[in-house]
Amino acid sequence: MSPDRAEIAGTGAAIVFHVALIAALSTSLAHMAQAPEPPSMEVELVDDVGLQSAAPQTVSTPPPPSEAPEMGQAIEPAPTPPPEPVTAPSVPAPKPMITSQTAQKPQKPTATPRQAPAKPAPRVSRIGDDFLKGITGSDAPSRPARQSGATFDAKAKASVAALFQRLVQPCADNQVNPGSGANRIRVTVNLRLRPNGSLASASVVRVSGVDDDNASYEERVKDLAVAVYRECAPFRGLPPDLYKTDQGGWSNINLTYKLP
Amino acid sequence: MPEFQASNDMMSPLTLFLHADIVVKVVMLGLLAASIWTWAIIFTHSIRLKRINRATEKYEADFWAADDIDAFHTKRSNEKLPSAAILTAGMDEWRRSTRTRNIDRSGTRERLATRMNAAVAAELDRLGDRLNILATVGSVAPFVGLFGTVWGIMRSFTSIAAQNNTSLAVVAPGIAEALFATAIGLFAAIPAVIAYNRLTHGLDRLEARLSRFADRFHATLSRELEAEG
Repeated sequence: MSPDRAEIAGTGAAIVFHVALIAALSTSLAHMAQAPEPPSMEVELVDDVGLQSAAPQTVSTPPPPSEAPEMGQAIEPAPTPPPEPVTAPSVPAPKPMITSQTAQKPQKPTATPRQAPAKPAPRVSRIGDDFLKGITGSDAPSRPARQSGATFDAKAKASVAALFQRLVQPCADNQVNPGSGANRIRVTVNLRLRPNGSLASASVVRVSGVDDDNASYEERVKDLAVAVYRECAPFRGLPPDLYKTDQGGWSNINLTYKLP
Repeated sequence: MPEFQASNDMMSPLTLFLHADIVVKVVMLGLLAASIWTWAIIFTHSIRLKRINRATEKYEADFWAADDIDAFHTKRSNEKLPSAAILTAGMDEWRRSTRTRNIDRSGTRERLATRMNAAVAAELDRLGDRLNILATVGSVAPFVGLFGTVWGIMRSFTSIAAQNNTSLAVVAPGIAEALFATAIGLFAAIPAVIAYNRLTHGLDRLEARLSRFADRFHATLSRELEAEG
């Protein structure tokens, strides 16, 4: 009797033990320290072998406002005249004097100022005017906020980008180009860094520049891109106060890589 | 929350199992069954051996403290213990041999020794049942796991050839799944080997203990035999 009971108990214990073990492995034990994915903002850095990264971003923010007013002027020239006389008072000022002398002339001068501002130097003044208008318009509240955030970020980004470039360059230079055209592929890798600068994870988020010639190298270049950062892994000398800020930081960073 | 994350984890045993090839799956299931069986035997035999050791010690102490062997035998011979079986074998042979008027002393001694040794051997056979399974699992499971791994890696390399892609991302999951088979094989084999050695050692000690009891009882009966004459 008792041996049978022992056998049943033993078998039951063994099954329970295995089920518990598998459950434990499935839940926590084998859970390989996957970073808890902090919802930190991403800092978009286009770190590259070339220096295209910081420059396009800083330049790209100012152009839009300047373009928009210009377009506005070009599209609607009729409503603009009222400000024109104001902006260029020196031109019309003498003209009224002339108009007082001749009745027909005033019409012409008024016509000429319309045409003239479009052609000559006054452009600068017009742009300035419209630019102000645009800013004082609906975009006014949002734009200053963006600009202040962006400029602050841009500075921090630029310094961090330069740092990263200096740190990554030696490893990037070691990479061997697997074939022709492979250096046209740009791989953006998302790096998660620990406060001590070591690499928590690196994953490819974007690939661009893949065409028919270099499509076969895409996976290889992806691997190389990740390998570059893994190789250089502990990134020393990064400013600790920029690890995590409201606008992001180097704890969570996207770096774009291209083969030399 | 971590449970849900874990279900997507690459290292989760269930994930590794579900992604594996059918052959590797069969190997994994077989090894898991072997592991469960191994642990069932380990638990059963460990508990039984411990219980028998404790009970035997008490039984023998009571036996040597008893004044009347016959009375002790009639009272406690039905206990499910190796010592009780040896005692029953000895007393049975004693009663049969001493039933006649002319007692062959040397022959009786020989028969008593034989019967009791046979009883010891029978008890050990019963207790050592299924230990061979531990030995088999211990020696074969790693090879079975290795077979699963080799098969899985073959399949991984075939997929590399098929995709024309040497990226680690193509090869790595297959190899991880394949290696999981070896992991299960070792997981089954290591406890099996340890338990086999430990349980064999425990049985050896029990055998020595039972032999000493049988020898001592034989000596007692032998002394009685001289007194009979």
